[in-house]
Amino acid sequence: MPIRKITKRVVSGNLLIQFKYAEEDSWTLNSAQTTFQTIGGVFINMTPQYADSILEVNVAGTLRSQNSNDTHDQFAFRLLVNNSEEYIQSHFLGQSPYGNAHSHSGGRNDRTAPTRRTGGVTNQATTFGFSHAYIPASTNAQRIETQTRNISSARNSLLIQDFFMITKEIGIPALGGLSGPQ
Amino acid sequence: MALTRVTKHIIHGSLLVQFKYTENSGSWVLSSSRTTFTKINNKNVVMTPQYADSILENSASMTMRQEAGNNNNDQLAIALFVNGSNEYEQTNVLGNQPYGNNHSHTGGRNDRTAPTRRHGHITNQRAAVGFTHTFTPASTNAQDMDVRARNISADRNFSVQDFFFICKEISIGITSLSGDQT
Repeated sequence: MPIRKITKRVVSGNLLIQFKYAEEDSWTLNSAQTTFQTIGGVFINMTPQYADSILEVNVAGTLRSQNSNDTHDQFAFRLLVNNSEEYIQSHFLGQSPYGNAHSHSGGRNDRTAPTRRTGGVTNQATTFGFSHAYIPASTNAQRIETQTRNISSARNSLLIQDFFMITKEIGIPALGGLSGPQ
Repeated sequence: MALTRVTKHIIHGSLLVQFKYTENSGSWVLSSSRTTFTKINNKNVVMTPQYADSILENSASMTMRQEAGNNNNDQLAIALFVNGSNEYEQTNVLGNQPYGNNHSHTGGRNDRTAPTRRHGHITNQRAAVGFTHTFTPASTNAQDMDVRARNISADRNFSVQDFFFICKEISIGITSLSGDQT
């Protein structure tokens, strides 16, 4: 067989090096928890193969405030990497009731709860999620987890459902100027 | 040296060519008077496609909060702009409407206080907002991409928090395997 010359052709681009994911069907944040708690105890360990890789994290889920009938019940989420806060989203839910106070219902001395608000919502629910990226700048293992906490009153528990987290390592080639934070 | 036979193996696929991101941590306020699209704290990503037939993928995440709101129908919209043109838009974010019973009689049959006024409402509405979008720029000209927000009803300030924006260039390997499917 004749020998054929093979031509080397350089293709520049980023390589998807690792792709990991984790899931939690249902998990409840206790109403007393005003410090951040890891959702379902779920985390992903990813050891970057290259120090200049980008780690991309995608999170999705739904949340529901349980039996809520108070005001300003707010929640926050954050991405925790090796016990350091990498990204935070705050002020979920927390809609305030608003409405007219009761007016006179009889004579001038006959009021029914004049300071009571008549409007409000309960069992607030919403989807949540985020996309985030960062460069760990090392090949040390990255423990990646999503946490949540009660912000304000700590009066209602929070039900997290269908939580899904994806983590990817994306290698940056020598052509580093084409990728990274802007 | 003995000759080693080299087997040529062709792999078709898409290459992640560029990966860029930007962030606006904390809060940025959209004034109530802003009914035209306004760039979120002037954050943008400029990406020059290396190939004219590449796909550009965009992911945006943030939360939005109505500031001191007590009116109904306060809605807002967000949009992806590319080189100053509206590429993708999400409308009707928030905008819950009040619902409740009318005032009843408070005195005699001719003595009503605001009989058409509704009792119930909520204020300080919040939502997690985000989108995924892709397009083919069909050129290698620089693409200046940003996310903008606007008031639809011009009644309320909105706070945009924890904004994160990712842009990727994905080259198309075999055209028929990738691209617009509409």
